[in-house]
Amino acid sequence: MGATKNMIRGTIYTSVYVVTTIILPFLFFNWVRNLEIPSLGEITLTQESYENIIFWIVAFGLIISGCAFFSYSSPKQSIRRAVFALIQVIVNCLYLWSYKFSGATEILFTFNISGYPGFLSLNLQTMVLVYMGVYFLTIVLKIYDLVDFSINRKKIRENRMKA
Amino acid sequence: MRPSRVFRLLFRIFILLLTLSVTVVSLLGGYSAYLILDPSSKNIGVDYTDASFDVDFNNLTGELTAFNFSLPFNITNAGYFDLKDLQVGIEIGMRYEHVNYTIPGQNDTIFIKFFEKHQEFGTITKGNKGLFNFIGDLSNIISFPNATKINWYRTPPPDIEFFANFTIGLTYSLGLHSLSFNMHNISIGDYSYL
Repeated sequence: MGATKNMIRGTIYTSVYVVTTIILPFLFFNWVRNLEIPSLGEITLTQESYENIIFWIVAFGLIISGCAFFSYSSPKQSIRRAVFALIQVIVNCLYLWSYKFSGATEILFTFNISGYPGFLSLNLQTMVLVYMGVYFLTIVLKIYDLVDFSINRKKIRENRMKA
Repeated sequence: MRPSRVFRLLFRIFILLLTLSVTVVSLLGGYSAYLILDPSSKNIGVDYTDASFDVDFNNLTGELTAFNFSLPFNITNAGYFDLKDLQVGIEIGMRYEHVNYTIPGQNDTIFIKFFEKHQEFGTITKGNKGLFNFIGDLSNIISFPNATKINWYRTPPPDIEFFANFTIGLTYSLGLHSLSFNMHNISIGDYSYL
């Protein structure tokens, strides 16, 4: 029964990560690809940026979702769970980093205001680096979990048996 | 609960607060950009009535002797954070007909960039209005053609057409977002001698 429950939990979390790391960013970049702002005209995300961004979002999003399944379908406070959670956070860091090298942190829009062409460049590199700093702290936490679960393995098992 | 789990919980809460802070700053930054750039709010204004553009030549040598350019503008920071590193860059180019003295009648239409300046205007604190004046003079001229080489009888007129590139750069949301706005080849006027 516990295994079935874990599998269901793993599937639910995989779905959550598919939505948050692939579907929502995909919909967002599709939305900004051809953004129409009244009185400013049409603002368009350049094709090259769009293809790069979508490729890396889907690639890393799938790996994160896969790791999420193995992590959340593992028993609570197990070493397996800690290992997969650590891998997932590291891949999450790479996912954020992919925003930088795919060009998503330097989004280039072209526009045409009353017949005058131009471009708008939005640089989010610093913001992504701050988020990566936060993820680094999460990596520290996951390593702490791994050490804690390894050292207190006996006590955790005893508690699990009691429950 | 084991003491190690209590420590973990506290650390987890700290990370959560940190993530929430960065997310809130980012979202407020995006909303602030909308508040400032919304055309109906008129937070960005250019005072064309006080703008000036003066060019003067030496009648004998045809050399450029005076050049002054000024463009007053204002920006109201209607957002939640200070607007930092505001920088405005203007490049001006001209299209004219270069007189060919070797083969009369075989004039070339030439486009050159003769003016370039990037001016920094510093910081506009939140809720305040910044009044600025972009000024250019002879020291910002890259190269200007000799007036004797310009065909002042060009048909069809005008004799000289002026174009500009505008660049506006700024940093927002406590330095998390940088924005650069560029417009190219905007016709800003023309001049005919006759």
